[in-house]
Amino acid sequence: MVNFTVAEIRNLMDLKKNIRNMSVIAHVDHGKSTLTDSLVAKAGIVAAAKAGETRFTDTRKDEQDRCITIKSTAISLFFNLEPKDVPFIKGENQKEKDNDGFLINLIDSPGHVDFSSEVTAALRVTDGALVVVDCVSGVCVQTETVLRQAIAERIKPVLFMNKMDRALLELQLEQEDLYQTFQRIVESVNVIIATYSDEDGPMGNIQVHPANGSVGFGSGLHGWAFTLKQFAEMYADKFKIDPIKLMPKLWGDNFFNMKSKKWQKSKEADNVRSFNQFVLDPVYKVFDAVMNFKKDETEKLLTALKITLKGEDKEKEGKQLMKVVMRTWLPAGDTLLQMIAIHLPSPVTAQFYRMEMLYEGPPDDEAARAIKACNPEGPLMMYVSKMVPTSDKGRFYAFGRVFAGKIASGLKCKIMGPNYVPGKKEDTTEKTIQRTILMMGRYTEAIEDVPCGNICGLVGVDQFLVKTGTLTTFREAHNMKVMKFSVSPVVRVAVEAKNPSDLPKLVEGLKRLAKSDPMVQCIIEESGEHIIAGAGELHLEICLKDLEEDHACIPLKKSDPVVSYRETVSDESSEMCLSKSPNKHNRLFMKAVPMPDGLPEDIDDNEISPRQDFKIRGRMLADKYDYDITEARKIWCFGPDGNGPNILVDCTKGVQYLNEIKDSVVAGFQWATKEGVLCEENMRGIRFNIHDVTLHADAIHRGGGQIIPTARRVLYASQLMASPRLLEPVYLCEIQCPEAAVGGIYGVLNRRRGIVVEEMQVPGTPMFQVKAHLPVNESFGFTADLRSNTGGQAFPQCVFDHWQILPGDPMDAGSKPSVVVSDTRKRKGLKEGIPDISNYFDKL
Amino acid sequence: MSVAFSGDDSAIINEKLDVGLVESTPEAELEGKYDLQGCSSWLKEHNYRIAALQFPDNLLADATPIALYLQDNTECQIYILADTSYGSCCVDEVAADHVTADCVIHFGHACLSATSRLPVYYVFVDLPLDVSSAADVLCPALPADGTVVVFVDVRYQHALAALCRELSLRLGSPVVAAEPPPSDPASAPDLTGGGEGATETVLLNRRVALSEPALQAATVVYVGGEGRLLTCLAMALGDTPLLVWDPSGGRSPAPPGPEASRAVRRRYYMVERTKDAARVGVLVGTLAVRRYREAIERLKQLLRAAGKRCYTLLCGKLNVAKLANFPELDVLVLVSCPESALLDSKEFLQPVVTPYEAELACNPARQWSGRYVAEFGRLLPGGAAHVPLPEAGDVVTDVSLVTGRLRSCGLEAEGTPQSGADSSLVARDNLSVAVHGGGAGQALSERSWRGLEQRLGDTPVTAAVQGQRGVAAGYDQEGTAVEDSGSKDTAPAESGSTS
Repeated sequence: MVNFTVAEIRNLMDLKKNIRNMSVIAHVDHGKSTLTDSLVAKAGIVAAAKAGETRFTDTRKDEQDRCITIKSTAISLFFNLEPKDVPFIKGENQKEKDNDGFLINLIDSPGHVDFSSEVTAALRVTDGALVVVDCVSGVCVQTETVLRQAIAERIKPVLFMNKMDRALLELQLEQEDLYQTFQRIVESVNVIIATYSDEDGPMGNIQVHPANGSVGFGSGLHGWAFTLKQFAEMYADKFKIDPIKLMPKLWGDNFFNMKSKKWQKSKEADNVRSFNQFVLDPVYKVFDAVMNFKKDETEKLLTALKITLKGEDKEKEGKQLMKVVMRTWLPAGDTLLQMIAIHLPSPVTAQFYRMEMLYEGPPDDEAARAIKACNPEGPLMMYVSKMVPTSDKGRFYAFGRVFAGKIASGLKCKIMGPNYVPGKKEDTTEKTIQRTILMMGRYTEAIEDVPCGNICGLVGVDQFLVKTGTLTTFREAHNMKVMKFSVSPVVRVAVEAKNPSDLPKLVEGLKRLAKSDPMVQCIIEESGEHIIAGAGELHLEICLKDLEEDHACIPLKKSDPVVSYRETVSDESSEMCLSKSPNKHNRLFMKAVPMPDGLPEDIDDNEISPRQDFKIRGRMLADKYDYDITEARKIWCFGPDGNGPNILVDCTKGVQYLNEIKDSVVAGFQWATKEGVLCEENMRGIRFNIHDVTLHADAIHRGGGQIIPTARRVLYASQLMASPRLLEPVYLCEIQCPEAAVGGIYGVLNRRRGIVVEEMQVPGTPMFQVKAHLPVNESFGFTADLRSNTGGQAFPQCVFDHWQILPGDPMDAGSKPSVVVSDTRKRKGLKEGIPDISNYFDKL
Repeated sequence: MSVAFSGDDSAIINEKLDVGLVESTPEAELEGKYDLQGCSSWLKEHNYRIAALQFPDNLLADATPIALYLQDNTECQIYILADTSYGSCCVDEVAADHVTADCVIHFGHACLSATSRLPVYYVFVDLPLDVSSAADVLCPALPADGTVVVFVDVRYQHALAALCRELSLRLGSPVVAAEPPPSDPASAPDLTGGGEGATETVLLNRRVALSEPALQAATVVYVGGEGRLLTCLAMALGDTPLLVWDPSGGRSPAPPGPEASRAVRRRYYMVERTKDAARVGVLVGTLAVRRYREAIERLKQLLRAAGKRCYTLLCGKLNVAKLANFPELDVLVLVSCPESALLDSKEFLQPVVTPYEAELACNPARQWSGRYVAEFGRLLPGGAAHVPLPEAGDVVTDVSLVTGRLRSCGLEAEGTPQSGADSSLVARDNLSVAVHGGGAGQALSERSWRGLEQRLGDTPVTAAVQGQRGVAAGYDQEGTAVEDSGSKDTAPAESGSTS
């Protein structure tokens, strides 16, 4: 641990080229937090005043109980680069001239897919990522997901192969096998990188390669790690080759003939792969000697490696001794910190190419220029990526990254929420920053100001932001881009206070919960139910626990988890639907048509959006989905909420006064698409066509009061006439297990309507990987079920993937959808049974 | 399009409307059923000259014989009032004023809200209740000690006193009745009163001779059927134990079902919607209940202080079409008697809330107690549940659980909506006129059609065609398929008459 005063830390912050902001990302259980621990032990910054008081890595109690990270935690590290390593740093923006001290802001993130929103929030404020891969289980689904996200955010990755101790001790892999395993992992990581990035892109080539030192190997648990740089340095004198030149020779198809002392490019009888010979062999020897209690040999090795053990360490034996030896020989902290300082970008480097991804405004305005240059003298631009609970209940620190300018206590700045539109007053306030703080693990330290390129916390801003937002001093600034999460809140529970008079406390608690988690949704439904929606069962479980114990502090009643459905149609309305206005003087004729496959998703992804120019949008719809170009240009609106995956299309010809009633029909459309006719769930994937309209000639008789309810009714009639269906959410579920357990997986999936889409052996391991589509509704208790059917060997990761039609007609009593509809109607306190068509369909 | 435009006139004539036919009462039973002797003696006793009889729709069939009876038996001139402007549970003073009536006799279910001027005689149309058998059923369900409050549907009002006596004899503990107010507004005490140390509490326009805390500790028995009154009562009582017994139902007394707590939660959702609202309509739902003007003024003041725009609407009996004429309003606050205020507004475009809910949403000093205040009179200054508005202070922001967005409540210290930042210079973009934020001006600017636009060049020029003839409810030539298929676009024969 390094002890610093706040003033010293503050000085480091000004050296922006010596800052590295990075996150640690990986699949669950690949050892991120353990690895982070070894870094913190080596270089964690403790303000002098707090030294020895608290342990950094202690955060939530449940995290320790479950051995799983739930919230991402930021810590700062200090690292002094040795002069000999300075030449490794390339690029003038990567290091201040006369300073070798590096400030590393590290964010440890959760690996479980349910918490990947935390990863998204962490990635936004960092520039580099340490991707940890368990070398035994290889690249997993979550590795791919987080890596993809990182690249999309323009985060540069470095790779670390963790759990090498397991490969050696448990699997007893031969040297060549281990090399092949490493090689495969590097390749699969590079395949992912190549898929989602472009070598000619603004970041340049970001592929990882052991030869340049951007891949580390080691064991987080035992605290040792190396890159080829470490070994190259060891052999540099022997071979009289510069380490930088030697490193590539230690990887790939480079073979060394010990007899002739020659390097060769292909395998021959008397040569050995250089990586095995020079890197793995010494490690294997140490393991062999120590673990098999070969005392003499151990002594010899220790002398050869110039390792001297201190007092009590000498007494140790077996695994304990092995740990000490390895840790002394190849300390993980040094290796990793070197790797981070050398290969990850400084804010100055990173912001230059990240600006266009971060900023919504024009790329040449004052704010954009300041971000691009990482200019502390420019206008303030700070992005708040999440809220961190304080010890003061109900209050939060706003946690984020300063991208330009300086944030300071007492500074008056503009706070803009995600819905802010430049020039409008909505979702923005101007407030004074009460305090700026350093977030160091669990505790905080006040600081006068923080310049750009750094991560910090703010006090007194939480009230003016929901979860995220932009802070600026530039009046015309646009928002920083809103984060896009890779998971969706599809699992819901209803909560209720056991004691009805606690209702306000529950509501207050829900508001706090909504703030404290980047993705959870807390909603009061029309029926008065209080709903918490999260990514999965585990996520909800944690949220409910937090709500009950920290936020609301009242006893709660919780419903079983339910999924939210969507209403759609499977056919065109069987006949033209007509509804008359209450005064019978106006008539609307409409039909509902299902959207072609892919269009709802395109609307979700904003490929097709209400904000586009109607000509461009029309062209896209015509080209991709064969829509009639004139109709595609006359989309009145999207709904629900003005941007949902349903559209209202004007197919009329020459109707008088039509534009007068447009607003009213749109209002009815928003209403109807928000609450479909089956069970008042949102509609999805329906295109409504207005075919004809008859209006009273007198404006007073075709006002909103006449048209809005009528539009709603005719939309309902069209829906009912078009073979309505329910859509249910489906997870993509990835399961890894040994071959013997695959049968058990199939059994469980079959029972739960799961469909296997892919099954393959993970190359080089006895593990199998099964990918399946599993309805979210069937996923409750899936993990436990799977474990008990596979002897605890299979572990699933589920991510929301798509919506699919729940087979069956909701109008048939007894069918699955009709059961869902009647359950939902009951829960919402609606009249039993789907309303009859005659309520909405009028005859002439 | 093969849907026939059928415009057959006979359809209208043969159309059947769903009107519940009400049997009229045989003349012999009239006097007993409607307490006509009581009515006539009341009229004589007070020497009223002109009396108005107010009937709900379901009793209208008996109106004429009753009016004739009273005309014959008293000196009074009798008028019949029907189709009341608001709920038929309220006394329609305005209609009675049209005939300059001195008094009103109100028939059928009543909410017992105090009137402003006219004395009222209530005829509830009693239902039979056998006091001793009622006590047999009720006693086992009641707690052995502790106060019991008896609250009855107006139709069992006649047996209230006897039932209380019987119950108190059998239980040996105090039994208190929820008494209806006296008929004459002049002599009636202010029913909104109360506060610290009061020995009387008002519960849905009935007086209970218990202090507020004592009422909370008591057990309340409701005798009557399901309905709005019960919903109101359950909500007004909060967690005070309530037993419901319907003498005609034959079931034993039981606490109300889960609908009650669901109703409370649903109302809380409305409170949240009110907090979110930027534009609120104050809907006048009564012209008779005492102090309604004050209530409206108070609401306006409250909403302004919360930084919301408010508009007052008067539109008589509410229906979906009327309220949907104001899509710009986010929420409507209905000022009316307790029973018609709880409008379940599934079909309405906007939520319709009560004054109490508006208070909860906009008055930061008011705390949710779980006990619903249904009578707006009690919220006004002098009322038991009055909470004064705090001085204009900070704007409070919080997260809306409905929209997931941030919202603020309150005004900036320096300004009212009229002044402040809004009236400062605003940069003109697109040459549009600056509008006040948050008000109807903003709503207008969000509409796509604002009227009076020429849209020169945007509208394609087309030849005029012969349109349909007749009235919109049924055009002249409707019903012929030929006419339908070519009505608008082509039909060269018709498009001949260009301008």
